[in-house]
Amino acid sequence: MKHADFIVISWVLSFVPIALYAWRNARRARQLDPFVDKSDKPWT
Amino acid sequence: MSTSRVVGIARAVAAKDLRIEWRSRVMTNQVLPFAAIVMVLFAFALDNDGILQRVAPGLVWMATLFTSLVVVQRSFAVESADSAIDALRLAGVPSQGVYLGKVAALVVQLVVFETVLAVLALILYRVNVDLHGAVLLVTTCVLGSLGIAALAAVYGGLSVAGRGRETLLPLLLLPAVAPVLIGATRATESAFGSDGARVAEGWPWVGLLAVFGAVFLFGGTLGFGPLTDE
Amino acid sequence: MSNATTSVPPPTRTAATRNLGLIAIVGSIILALLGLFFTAEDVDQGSSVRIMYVHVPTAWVAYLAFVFTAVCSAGHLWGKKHSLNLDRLAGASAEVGVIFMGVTLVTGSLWGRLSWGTYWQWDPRLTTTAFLFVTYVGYLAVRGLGGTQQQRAKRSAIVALFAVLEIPLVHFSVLLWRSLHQEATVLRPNGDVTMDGLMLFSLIFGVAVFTVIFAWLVLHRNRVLALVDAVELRGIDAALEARRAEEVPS
Repeated sequence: MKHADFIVISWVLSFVPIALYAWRNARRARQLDPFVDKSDKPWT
Repeated sequence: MSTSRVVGIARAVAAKDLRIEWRSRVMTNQVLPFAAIVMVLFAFALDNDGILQRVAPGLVWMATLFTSLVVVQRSFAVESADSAIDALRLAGVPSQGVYLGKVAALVVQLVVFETVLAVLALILYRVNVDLHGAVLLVTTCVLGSLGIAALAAVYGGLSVAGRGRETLLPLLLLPAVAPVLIGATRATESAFGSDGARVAEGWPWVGLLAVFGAVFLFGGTLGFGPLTDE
Repeated sequence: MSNATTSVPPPTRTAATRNLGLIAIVGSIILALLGLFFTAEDVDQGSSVRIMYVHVPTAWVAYLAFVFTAVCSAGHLWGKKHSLNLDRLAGASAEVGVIFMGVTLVTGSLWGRLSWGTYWQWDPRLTTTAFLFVTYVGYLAVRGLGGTQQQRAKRSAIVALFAVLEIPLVHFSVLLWRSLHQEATVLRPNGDVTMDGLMLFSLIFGVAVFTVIFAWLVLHRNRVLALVDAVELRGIDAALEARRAEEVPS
């Protein structure tokens, strides 16, 4: 494997997990939303 | 809550734990043979007399760590049967006393272990120890056991009762105990004379073990009560 | 249900997180341009220094996350209200920290393969990082033990404080341990390089960008955890209501 491969893998690994985690969180929030009302969401 | 009361509780808890162990003979009949088997298996796995002699300190302390998991589980399983530990708390018994008692009992049991393991190392791995080395070895065993026991009592209290908790103890305890492992094995290397280590070089590591033991004991005394409060 | 998800904004978004998210994305693009194209290669390390522009920021964020977890844990334990929000922040921060710690270990290993020829070295920094990773996986396991939310909070907070206490102890003992082996640092360069202006700027810029990403992730996760706790409480309330309804006197 060339130097460039290592570099690309590093950069991909530094951002993809973040995106995946964020996406899963958003999905979880949407799943839970029907079961709560506004008082449970003090940030809104 | 006075110091003398805490010490009294600690002594009572430690005496109770040790008496239970003595009567049930689980230590002598099951756990010691387990430790012996582990030492023999190391020889099968490593298959080299010179290497065995060199790594004997590490093997002794790894065997100690694995055995401590079993010992701690048992120490707290005894409490959760019949919810004995909840009864103690409801009766207003200070948790610091319970914690210190548990630690004391664990230290005694671990020191017994390590003595047997060290003797096995002398026999099986052909390690040699002179008088100065023996003094160093005993001190290392006591202080190393203190560090392990202080941490194990904290995480042991957490990992008992309830499903899926038993496997939590190794995950929490083994990383936390790493500094003790490093200090104890380096000191033991000096005691055994492994790889040319001299006995005098071991004493600084013993000092380090004392610091770890004190820190963990202090943290555990504070944290045990709130942590096991359920 | 799935039709609605694309047009409705996520329940955890606010103006603040939307702005943070935009800053994070724009910042990441700029960082990539800087790190991968505009900066020069290092005199000694060559192109492998480009990994540093993500490795150093993720390492920094991982440690920041764990310190933040410890601070929130202390705030929960010693605060008058024993705030569950602080507990959830601690948990969210630890999750993000574990992710970044894992990434740090992998990118560090890849960098090491290029620079040292090996995937691993037993030096204090790396070893402490690996140790912390396992420790915080354990912390997350403790968070999942069940019980009431207050029990979870108190339990986790104490474990977090023990974990933070371990950091200097482990680092110091590994340092003493490795000093016995007297490895020549000349033969094994560490990550510290002398950098020119743009390289240094890119590194610091990377740290800033990833800190923004950290804040964005923790805010969203904290809100999701609040929803999880709220749903649990509502479920308990509903069960209590049903129980009381059964006791209608005949």
